[in-house]
Amino acid sequence: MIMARKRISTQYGFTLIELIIAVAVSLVVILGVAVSLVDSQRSWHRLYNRAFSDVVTDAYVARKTFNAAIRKASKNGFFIDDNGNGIEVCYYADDNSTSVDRYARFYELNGELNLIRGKLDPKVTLEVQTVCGNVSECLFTTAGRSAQMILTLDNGSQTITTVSCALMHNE
Amino acid sequence: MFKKRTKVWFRRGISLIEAMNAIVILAIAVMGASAYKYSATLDARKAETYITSARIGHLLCESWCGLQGTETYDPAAHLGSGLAITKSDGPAAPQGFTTLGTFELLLNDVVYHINLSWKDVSTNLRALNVVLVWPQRGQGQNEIEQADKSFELTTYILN
Repeated sequence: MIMARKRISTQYGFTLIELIIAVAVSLVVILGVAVSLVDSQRSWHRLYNRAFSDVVTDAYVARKTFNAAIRKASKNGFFIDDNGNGIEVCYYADDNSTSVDRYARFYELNGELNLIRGKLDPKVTLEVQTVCGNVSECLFTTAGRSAQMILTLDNGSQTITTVSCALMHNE
Repeated sequence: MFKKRTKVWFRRGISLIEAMNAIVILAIAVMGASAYKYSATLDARKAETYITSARIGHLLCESWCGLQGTETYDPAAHLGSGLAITKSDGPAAPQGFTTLGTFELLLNDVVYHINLSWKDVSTNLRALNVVLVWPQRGQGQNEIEQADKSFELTTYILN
């Protein structure tokens, strides 16, 4: 009798019920943790894309390039394409220029925003630059001596619309 | 008797209670990290909305400046072909400013309510003001009453 009691009190391992309960509880907790991890990973991915995706950086480059070109343009020599997909402005090459002698033309073609820079009189292309890709819509407008760019970028998973406006300061 | 007690005290493995304690602590840590990441994502969205409002304000101010601050400026007519901007209810103008118009603009799934106003500060100097408000809390709340965030920009033009 004494020997039997000792054997029961010193048993090793878990009972089947303990094991089932432990596994069930662990499964529930692990499932919750996994769902939480996946959700937070998605959130993190969205956060990263908001700041660093290609459409965000493309939009940044497009705004900077557009503003830089428009701000030094002449308010007396610019025109917009009939469909609003392109704008051409004239500007001074440098401080020694006595008249506007350069032009810059923004236009959208095949999902890319391009910039052509060239000489005026005679008109000669000096440089063709692709400003950004992923362009789904592009519209240029003018109001007096200001020019606006409304650009929608889409890389298939993210779509953003960015706006930019600058005044043409030069005569 | 002594040998058996020693064996029980130094048994291998962990008890169910210990395991559950460990799991609960781990779950709390993971939930904390998730909450942190969720807050970061939410704040990034708020920042993005704020930046967008600043760009819209800048766009409207510069466009209006381009027309020398005229009292006939209509952003819906100038920008309506590329932006979803319509005349609607808007916030109040700052004190002393005359309202040019109030508008509603939908951009990147956020509705901004806009007030354009102007004030002649002195001879040939006009202040142009843009006030934007939008609902930051909750998606789909587009009424101006739900707006809880604002951005204001004033620029000056010689006319």
